[in-house]
Amino acid sequence: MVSSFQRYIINKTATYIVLWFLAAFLNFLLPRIMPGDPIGRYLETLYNMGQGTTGGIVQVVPEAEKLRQQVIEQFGLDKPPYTQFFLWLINFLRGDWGYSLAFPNLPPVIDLVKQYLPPTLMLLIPSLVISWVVGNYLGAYMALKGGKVDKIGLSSMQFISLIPAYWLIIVLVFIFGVYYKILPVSGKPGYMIPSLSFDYIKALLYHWILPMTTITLIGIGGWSIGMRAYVIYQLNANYMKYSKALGLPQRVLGRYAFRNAIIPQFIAFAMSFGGLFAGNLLVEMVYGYPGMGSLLSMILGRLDIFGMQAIFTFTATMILVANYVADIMYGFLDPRIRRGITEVVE
Amino acid sequence: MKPLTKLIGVSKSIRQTLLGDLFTNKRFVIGFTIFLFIILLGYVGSLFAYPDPWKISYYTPGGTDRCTDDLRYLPPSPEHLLGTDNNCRDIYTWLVVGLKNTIWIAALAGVIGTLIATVLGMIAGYKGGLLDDVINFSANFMIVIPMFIVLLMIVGYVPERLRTSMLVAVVIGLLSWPGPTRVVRSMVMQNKAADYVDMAKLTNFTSTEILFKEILPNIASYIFLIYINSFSSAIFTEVGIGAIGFGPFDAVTLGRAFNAMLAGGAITLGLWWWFMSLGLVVVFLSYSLLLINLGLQHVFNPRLRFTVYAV
Amino acid sequence: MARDIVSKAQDLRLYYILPNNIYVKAVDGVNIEIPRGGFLGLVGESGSGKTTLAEGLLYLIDPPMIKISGKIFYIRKREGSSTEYETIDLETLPQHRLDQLRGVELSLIPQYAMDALNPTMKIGSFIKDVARYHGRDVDEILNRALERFKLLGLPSDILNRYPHELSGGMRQRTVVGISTLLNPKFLVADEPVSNLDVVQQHIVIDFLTELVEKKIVETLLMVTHDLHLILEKSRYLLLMYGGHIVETGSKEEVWSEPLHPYTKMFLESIPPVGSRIEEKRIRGIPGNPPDLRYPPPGCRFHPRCPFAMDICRRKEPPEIEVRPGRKVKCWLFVDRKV
Repeated sequence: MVSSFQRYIINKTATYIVLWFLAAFLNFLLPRIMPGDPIGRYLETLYNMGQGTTGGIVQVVPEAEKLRQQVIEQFGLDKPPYTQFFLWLINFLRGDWGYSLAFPNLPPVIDLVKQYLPPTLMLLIPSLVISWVVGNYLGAYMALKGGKVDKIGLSSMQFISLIPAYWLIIVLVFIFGVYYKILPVSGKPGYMIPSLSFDYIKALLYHWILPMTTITLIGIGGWSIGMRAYVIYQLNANYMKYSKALGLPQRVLGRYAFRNAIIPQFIAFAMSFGGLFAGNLLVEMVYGYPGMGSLLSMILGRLDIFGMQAIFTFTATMILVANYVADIMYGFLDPRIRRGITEVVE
Repeated sequence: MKPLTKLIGVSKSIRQTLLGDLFTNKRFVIGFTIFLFIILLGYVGSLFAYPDPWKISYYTPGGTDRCTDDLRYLPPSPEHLLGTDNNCRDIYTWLVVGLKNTIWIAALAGVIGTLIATVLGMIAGYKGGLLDDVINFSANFMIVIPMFIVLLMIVGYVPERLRTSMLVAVVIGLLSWPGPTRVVRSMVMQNKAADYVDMAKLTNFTSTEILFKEILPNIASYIFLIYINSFSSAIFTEVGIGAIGFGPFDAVTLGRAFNAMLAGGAITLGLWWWFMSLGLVVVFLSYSLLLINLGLQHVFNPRLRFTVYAV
Repeated sequence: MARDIVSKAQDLRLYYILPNNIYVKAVDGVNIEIPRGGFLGLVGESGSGKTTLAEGLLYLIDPPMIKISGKIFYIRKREGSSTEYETIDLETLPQHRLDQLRGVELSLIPQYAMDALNPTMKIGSFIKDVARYHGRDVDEILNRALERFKLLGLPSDILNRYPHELSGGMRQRTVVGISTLLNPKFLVADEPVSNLDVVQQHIVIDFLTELVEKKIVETLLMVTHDLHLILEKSRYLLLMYGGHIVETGSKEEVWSEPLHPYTKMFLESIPPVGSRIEEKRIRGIPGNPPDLRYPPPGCRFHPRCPFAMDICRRKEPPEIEVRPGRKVKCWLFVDRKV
């Protein structure tokens, strides 16, 4: 006999597996139905590397058509689409994500991700945690305090949350990098080769401060607005009126409101990962920070379909896992779901 | 048949007070003023701009159209209100032309997204059943995957010559329906249970008639709010993809201007008027739209009118 | 004098503020003195402002409800004295003193009892908080709660349950139990049986009656539209119509000699107990209760009143004290007094 909570978990798990398949299929399909000539672009890259000049190899080199066939066979692009899909899916799960066409030496995509993901996570995770904690605290404070504090606080938070991250980092770079010259103007840690050496990490940290500040600041805006709304909603609930009628002091009412308002913020915490990842890509690209954003801009610029497919699927997987964890966590946090009443989720 | 909402819905006098309320609502008035000002910057401002953003030879002493170092990175002056860039082009012209084009792209994207959301939301909310399940599941799925990444994927694959303003607007619009669809759906579901719909059913209205003559007028104000939201986020999206070089290729947009600013080295050279003007236009445009939205919500939805505290 | 009264409101106006600066005049100029002791009834149709007045008596005034004018007093025995009484103005009382009174001396069974409990807290934890913040011994209160919940027919594991694990009726009874847990001197029960079936109604009414009879609750003000219940139990009645208190008096006085035309019609509108459905002819009061956003000028009842005179349409009637504790707000009685 399964309990209703177990049923909730099984249900969610099944849903997320279906979602993952859909996401993977979409990632497989999109590059194939899009206009553009990825193989031609790859051959161009190869050719340019050899010649040091630009030009359409397809027209220039007589053997282009032969080369193209070679590449198509090499990557299995001549097989029927569904075979390609399942082969690709199985390989993806085994950790074989193919080779990136964006680089002439065709590095395995997974190696690229291993290299570029840690700096991004180093940025995202602390920023998410700090902005979540500070934002929730500020939001609850505004809601509980009310009056002028709330009014001014809310307006400024709304304003902050509307600043595009890729512009805020420009302003910060100008102030701290160009004007005061205390922080680097670009996110690239010099000409150092990414590694785990102490010097590299030190250099990375130095280049980490500005993007970190940028996304944390904007995050605080969003979190505080959300938390404020949830706390006000709780403060207007009937149970709050009743607790007040029983003479419970304000600090206890505030605690009740906070505790009930933080539950949806937990789920939002994990769910925000996807949006943050996407927003962060732009910051990285603008600042040149050596993370997934920079990798993606290289891959996109060179029409690397294997890289794109792998990286988008990987991103989707990460986001889905985060959402899955959020849903399960919510089930644990909210006794209504834990006991199997699912209609109150929304 | 005469729509029943005409008889039992919002009366004219209440509509008039709504409008009156709107213009006494501080947030709406401030937001609307900023918005108007920015639109004027685009349209009246372009009277003071050069006709062609690409041309470089305006007001150059020798009348040359070659970009020489003494015409590069000029500071703001009466001839060039925001100076010139690394290609000797007038930054102010790029700003106003870009602003106009971006507003058009965002307006179109907003229309597409809102239209899809309205139709799908109304079908899902009113019909229910399998259709509802499919629409709702797809919307939830699309919400989980960040649209920005899908957008990058799509525009990333499209060759530059095909990446027109129209295409970018359509793609942004096509990707922005999931959230609004859920909102419309839940509103239709609420309205379905309302008295006037029951009355309409009794008078033998068909479902299409009920949807379009009864429910749609009632949720129209909310759909307008959704439109403003979509419009605002489309601006953000256009500037975002434009800034990294994946925006429309056939026109100067704010995103393109951002991209040129980054490529031109505005930051390291400390040309603050360049990046500040671009950024502030985007920030104030979206802030004004937020204020307009909040003001409208305040007037449309009486329940939101009080920031009510129990403590 | 003060010892006979437990709560008092003077010129009380409690409005709800709506969009476009529209006010709902839910309580509009109420002067009442609520006698101390026993089972009392505040009666009126729905929408007459009963609940607003009930919340006002505990000074539970939060936006969108606002107090336009008036004072609210609570009168209690002075601490350490058996004969002296003190009158407390709830408005000027510091918040922490007000909190100390609420739940302990003044308590409310709210109309929204069905969802009055914190959804993410077990009943037991909530009771612990109530006990703790009123400086009571937590174990003693929990034991008392168990006893009382048993009287109310609630299961013994209730302290370990969340509100959503209880049925609506169980939640309502739980709230009845919690509101009376600290033995309040003055309890306002706002429609405490409205959502219960007949058996549960009896349980709750018997429970409340017992508390009053044992003097655990000194004064119980039952707010209801159910005249049967009130006529059976209460010794004193306050009748409310359109934001005004229209008549007060002991049950016998009101029953045998109703003064206000509204009271007369209201009493006539109910079928006698025991009458069969086919036999009874419900004589409802013609017309509708007033829209409290735009109440009629003069007497609120004049559009429905068969005795309405010219002055009733123009001027609000004064309150006439026929005898001590027996008041009526009607122009018909102005001459009688003179």
